[in-house]
This record gives sequence, structure tokens and C-alpha cells, in this order.
Amino acid sequence: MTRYVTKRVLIGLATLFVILFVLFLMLRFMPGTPFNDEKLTAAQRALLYAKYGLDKPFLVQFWNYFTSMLRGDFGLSYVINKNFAVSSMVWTRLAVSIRIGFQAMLLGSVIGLLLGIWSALKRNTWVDTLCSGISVFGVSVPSYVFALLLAYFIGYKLKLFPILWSTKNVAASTVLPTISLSLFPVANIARFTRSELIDVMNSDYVLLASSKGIKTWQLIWRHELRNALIPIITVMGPLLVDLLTGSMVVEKIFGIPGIGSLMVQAIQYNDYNVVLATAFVYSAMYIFTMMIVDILYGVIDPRIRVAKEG
Amino acid sequence: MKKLRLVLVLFLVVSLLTACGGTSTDTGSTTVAKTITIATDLDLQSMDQQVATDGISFSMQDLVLSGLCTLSDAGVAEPELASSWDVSADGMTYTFHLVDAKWSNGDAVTANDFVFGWRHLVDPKLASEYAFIMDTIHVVNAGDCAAGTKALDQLGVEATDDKTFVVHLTQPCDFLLSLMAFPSFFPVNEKFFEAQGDQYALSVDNLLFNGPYTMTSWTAGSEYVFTKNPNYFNADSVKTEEIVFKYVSDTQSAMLSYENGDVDYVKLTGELVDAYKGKDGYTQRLAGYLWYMSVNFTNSKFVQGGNLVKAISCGIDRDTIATSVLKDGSIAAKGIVPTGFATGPDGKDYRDTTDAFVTYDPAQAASYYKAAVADNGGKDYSIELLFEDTEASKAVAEQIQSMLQTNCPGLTITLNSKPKKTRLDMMQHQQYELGLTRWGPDYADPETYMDLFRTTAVDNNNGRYNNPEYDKLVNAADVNANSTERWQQYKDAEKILVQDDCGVIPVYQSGGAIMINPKVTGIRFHSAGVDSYRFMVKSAS
Repeated sequence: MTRYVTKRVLIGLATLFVILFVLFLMLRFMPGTPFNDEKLTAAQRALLYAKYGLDKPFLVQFWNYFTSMLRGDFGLSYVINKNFAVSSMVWTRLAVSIRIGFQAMLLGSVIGLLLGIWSALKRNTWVDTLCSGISVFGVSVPSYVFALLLAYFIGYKLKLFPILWSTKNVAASTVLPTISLSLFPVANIARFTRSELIDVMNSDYVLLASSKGIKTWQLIWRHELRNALIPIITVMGPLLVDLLTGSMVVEKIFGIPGIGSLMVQAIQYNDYNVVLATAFVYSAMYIFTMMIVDILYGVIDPRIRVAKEG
Repeated sequence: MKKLRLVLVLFLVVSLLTACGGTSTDTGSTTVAKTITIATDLDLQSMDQQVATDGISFSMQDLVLSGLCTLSDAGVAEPELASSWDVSADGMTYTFHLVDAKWSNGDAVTANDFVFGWRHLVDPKLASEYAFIMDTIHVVNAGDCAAGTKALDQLGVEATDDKTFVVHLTQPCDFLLSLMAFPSFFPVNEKFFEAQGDQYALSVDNLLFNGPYTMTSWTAGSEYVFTKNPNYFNADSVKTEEIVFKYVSDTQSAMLSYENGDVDYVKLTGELVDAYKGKDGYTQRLAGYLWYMSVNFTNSKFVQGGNLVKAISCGIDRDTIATSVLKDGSIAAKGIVPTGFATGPDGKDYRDTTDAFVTYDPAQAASYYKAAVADNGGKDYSIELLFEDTEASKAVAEQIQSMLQTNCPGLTITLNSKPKKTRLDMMQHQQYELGLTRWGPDYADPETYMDLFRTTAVDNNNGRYNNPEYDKLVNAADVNANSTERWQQYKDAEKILVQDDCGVIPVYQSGGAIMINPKVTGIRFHSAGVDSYRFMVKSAS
């Protein structure tokens, strides 16, 4: 088991290193530079290049970046927040995205599960049709359209929650973005829960349990849902990473200082260090999740480990 | 069912409580509102006035810092920290007399703060992108100091005593005073600066203020709060207690907040301009940005003053582009110098006393194009137009394409859209044919535009336009102490550049459509330099 985990971790780290190198290479080949303004003279540009070490050979630049990164120093921002430490910029923004992502996931899971259970129980009735309708709506309507609808009806018409992010009222500012982002998990989880639950409900052991006279809610909670949850949790993993890394469009609509909008800004402005750091964080989060999934598979089903190692 | 009802009730109570907390407007006991909120579609990049390069950062700095002068509504320099000034007879020495003012830490603002700030701007170690502006006003040794070939103490500035700041120039400069309201020239408290090290100006705690406001909250990517500065030397003139800037890149949600009364100022874009045009609060402003097509003369297709460039210049209906495509208050360009931008020695606007050097004439365009094709051995031209990937540039480029292909039958215009930084890079390396670009002036003088197209201006003359006659006129004008003569030299040079040679093809002068809460007054828009929000007031009733 230790060997298996060590191997997974090493592969994860190597992948991250390759991603970092390729990103670094791609950025340097991208046309334009961070210091590219109508008013900047060639001499002044040369000074700026020297100041930030961009005049050094590519491999030296990469090595300097990589070694400082290991110390937690992701360099300085050249454009977006001039001379700010990128690590603190990314961290502050990531915290906001993670908060909204978690809230959305929590809300989405609870409502999704409830809708799924309800429609499985009331199969082929109007309830089921309604829940399927909500699922189809949630999967097909992009979150930004839903975000605009929420901003208009709940923010503007009903004036229940602020539309724009406000540092004086952060909790209330997160309500509308949380609801907008939760729509997709609601739809997905409801759909999965319904189909998994129907499968389980038709199985022999459930029929046996129910014929023994166990109460309906106990049956659902103790026997049906527990078994149906396993595949649902598999779906929730990638959904969570998606939500945590922020949604650039929803962030734009509600003026949220999250990491999604930061990455888009960074690419537009050629702010090298910010592009690198945000892309690195994205990759790291994905790789970390995959690694956990891989390791969990190994724990749950030792055959996977044996087969791969064999 | 009971539980569900309980949850619903709880939800409603929480919602109502939050709503009540979020939308209150404090009017106080006075007749002006306490807070004014501005939505900005561009984010704050730096609070260091010698590092910043963008308009919104400069505007926020203008709230917290004062320089020697401020600009009136009309863009005329008025006394601020300098109560008065003397100019030597040869126009090459300016002596500023300072008022008694204080920094927010209690230190007095002295002439030495200006000396340090100005030296800091040209310090090669700082490598400020705005270092060039010191040379623009011709301060002695500015270029050499910025290049590192002369020590900073050789810069032509001195503090003869705590209250007297003297600037020495290599040649007279008509627009020096208006630039004294530009943040790059604002003072820096040396002691405070040194104490902050590399953290200077990176948070509210590492900033020092001498202007009408202090910065009290800085949430990067979101919200910036400015509170009235009791130490400001003219604090009685400041009526608004708090100014909030909110960075919102989505105009639609910014407008919903405006409608809710949470925001007082939103810059409109796209369809929203049409939707709000004519409504109470709708404001149009003319900016000093002039958009033009740069022609790459290193490409053998194009000849200065040739038939092809003339066909292109005559074939564009600039009025239609401004009024039917952009619709945001933009106007057709009449030359390379904008309208309502620079006031001449006669007190009149430059453009009011100068001919329009571009005209729309489809018949003429067709005949120029026919001649160009004949010059080309009967072969039609295909030309690529490079532009940046913004909504406005795209719309303008498509319109130019359609106009030219209609008015010059046989001509093909292909479009190439790139992000701004990439477009600039391609243009700086002459990797384009026609490039839609602009210049944003920092000071209100034709010089800022005319200097761009001199043969020696390799950093900006991307198309490598080259006419010795033009160079001679502009170089002579730049150092001419006789303002009337100087003005005429620029007009003559502009005629050569735009009308005779079609060395650049001016298209439009950009405007801006804004929704401003009708209760808010006192915002000073300037076509050159910085928009100032420091005099803003919102009536409470």
C-alpha cells in the first residue's frame, strides 16, 4: 500500500513539474509582453526586463522561478496589481472562490439529494415530471444565464440580496452566486440519485426488508440511500473541483474577487507570474483530486492496485 | 410539512434581515449624502503614483494625493499645493511657492518631497513606465537620469527652502502647469518611503496621503474605500464623507445595482447605451483618445501620399462610424489632433481654427483606388486590418471593411483581431498592414500627437512614416517659445501628415456614455490627463 501511494504521489508531482515547464515555455512564446504599452520606449522596456529578470536566458528564468516557487514565492505581478506578491494575490482570491464553491456544493448536494429521493419515491407522477424538468433545466441552462435571472429577479426586483460583491456584507453577497452555481450540481445529483435509487429499490434485499415491515423512511435512509450513494459520490468529486476553482462568468456578473476572473485578467494582460500561479493552482487541485480518487480506489478495491502493479 | 413551513419562515426572516442591512443609505444630518459609489470596469493596478500607468489608478491617486496644481472643469491648471508660481522671462525656470500642508502622519509637505518624488520617477531602479513624461516637459537631464547615465541629483529640480520648489527646463514648455495636476509629478515623503521598503504603496498601511481623502480599505479585484482626510489643508472644501470604487466588469449587473440605488456611476457599453440614451442621468463625454489607422509604410503596397492610402482615407464614412456604430458620444475625427482638447494662444480650440484634413468622398475613393490598381499593373489589392479584440474595435473594423469594399470595388479587406498587448507587439515589429490604434494624451497640447510621427520617434511611429518637411516643422514647433507661431507650425505639419501624405488615417475620437445619478455633481472629466472625483457631491434629498 505504501509503495502504491508513494508511486501515485511521485507521478502527481512529476506531472505538475511538466505542466509548469510547458506553461512557462508557452508564455514566453506568446506574442506580446507584460510591458507593452503605447507609451513605453524601447529603452524603458529594457530596464523593466532587467528589473524583473526577464532578460535572462529561458532556462535560467525557469530555474529561478522554480526554486523560488518551492519556497512559496510565486514572483510579483507585473500588471494586474503591480509589484504585489502573486502568492498572496492568488491565495486571497482562491479563498473567496473556495468559500462560494463549498456553499454551492453543499446547497446543490442537499437539494439534489432531496429532489432525487422525492422523484424516485413518486416515480411517474407529476412530482417526478417536475423534478426531471428541474434537472433538465439545471443541466441545459448555463450558470451565467441563471445568474443573470437571479440578479434581475432576486437582486433587482425583490431587492432581497445585493447584486454586487460588498466587503461590508460578505455573507449576503455570497447568496446569489451560491444559488447560481448550485444549479448544476442540483440537476446532476438529482438525476443520479433518482436512477440509482430506483435501481436499488427494485433489488431483492429491499423488497425483503420492506416485506418485513420496516418504516418507509428507515428503509430509504438505512438501506436504499446508503447503497445508492456510492456512484453519486463519484460524480460529486469532479463537480467539487469545478466549483472550487471558481466560475469566471459568475464571478464577472456579481463582481466577485475570485480566482476565475483573476486568471482571465492575467491572460489578457500577459501577467506572466499570475497566469503561471493560477494555472498551477488549477492543475494542482485537479491532480490532487485524481490522486485521492486513485488512492481511494486502491483502498476500496485492492484488485485495482494488484492489476496495475502486476 | 410543519418543518418545511418553519424552514420557509426562517429563510424569509434571514432574507429580510440581510436586505435591511445591505441597502441603507446614510444621509446624515447635512444636505449631502455621506457616500458616493462608482462602478469601474477597470481594476486598480497600483496606488504608487510613480508606478501606475492607467486612468483609473491615477483617478484614485488623485483622491488621496495633491500635487502642485489641480485642473479646472475646462482643464486649466489651478493652484493646489502651490499657492503661486513665477516663470522666468525665458520660460525655462519655474518657481513654485507651497502652502502649509500636512501628510496624513502629521509631517509637513515640503519642497523636498517634490524633489524626491520627481527623482524617484526617473530612477532607473524603479524603471517607471511613465519616466518619459519628465523629458516631455524638458526638465534638465531628465533623459540622462532615466537612462542611468547621470546621477539622480543632476535632475533639474531643487528645493531652495522648505516652501520653494524650483524646476529648470532645457526649453520652454507651454503645458507644464497642466501636467502639475498629473499624479506622476506628485510628491513622495522620503522618510516614509524608505521606512516601507519594498512594501511601499501595496496596502492602506503602506500609503501616506496629503489629498482630500485617505484610502481606508483595499480589497483587490473588488472594492476600494476612500474616507475624508481631516489633515487635508483644504478639508473644508470636501463635502462627501466617503467614496467607494467598485470594480465590476459586467456592465449589466452594474446597471441593475445602479437601478437599485447601490451605485451612482456606471460606464455604459454596447446595447446599454441605446437602452439608457435620453434617460435622466445619461451623460456623454468626449475623451481625448483619438483612434486612427496606422499604415505600415515598410510594406511595399503603401506609398506616402499614394493613390491607395488616399482611397482608404476618402472611403471611410467617419460620421457613420461615430454616430451609428459607436453611438456613445464618439465623434468623427477631423485630423490627428482631437476636438475640444487643446486651447490655443488665441483662446480657441485647436480644431476650431484648423481645417478638417479628412473628408468622406466615395466617388473620389473609387477613382483613387482605380488609379492605385493601374499603378499595380491592373491587380486588385487585398489588405489586412489589424485591431484589438474589444467590442468597439471589432465593430469599427467591420464597418471599415464593409465601407472600403463597397466604395473601392475590387478591394479586399481582411480582418485580424488580437488581444491589445499582442496587437501592440505586432505593430511595434511592423508585422501588420493597417492597424487600428489610438493615443491617449497626458497633456492638452498638439505636441503629444504630432511628436508620434516624426522619423526619430521609433517607439511610436510604427508605420515608419518619414517626411523631412514634417519633421522640420514639428521639431521647430516643439522648441518655439512663440506660442502663436508654434501653433501654426503644428497645423502645417498636420496638413502634411494627414491630408497630403495620408501618413496616418484618423477615424474617430472616442466618447463615453455614462449613467450618473442625477443627484451627483462635480465630477471633472478631462480630455487629457486624469478624471477627477475629488470635488464630487451628492445631494441627500
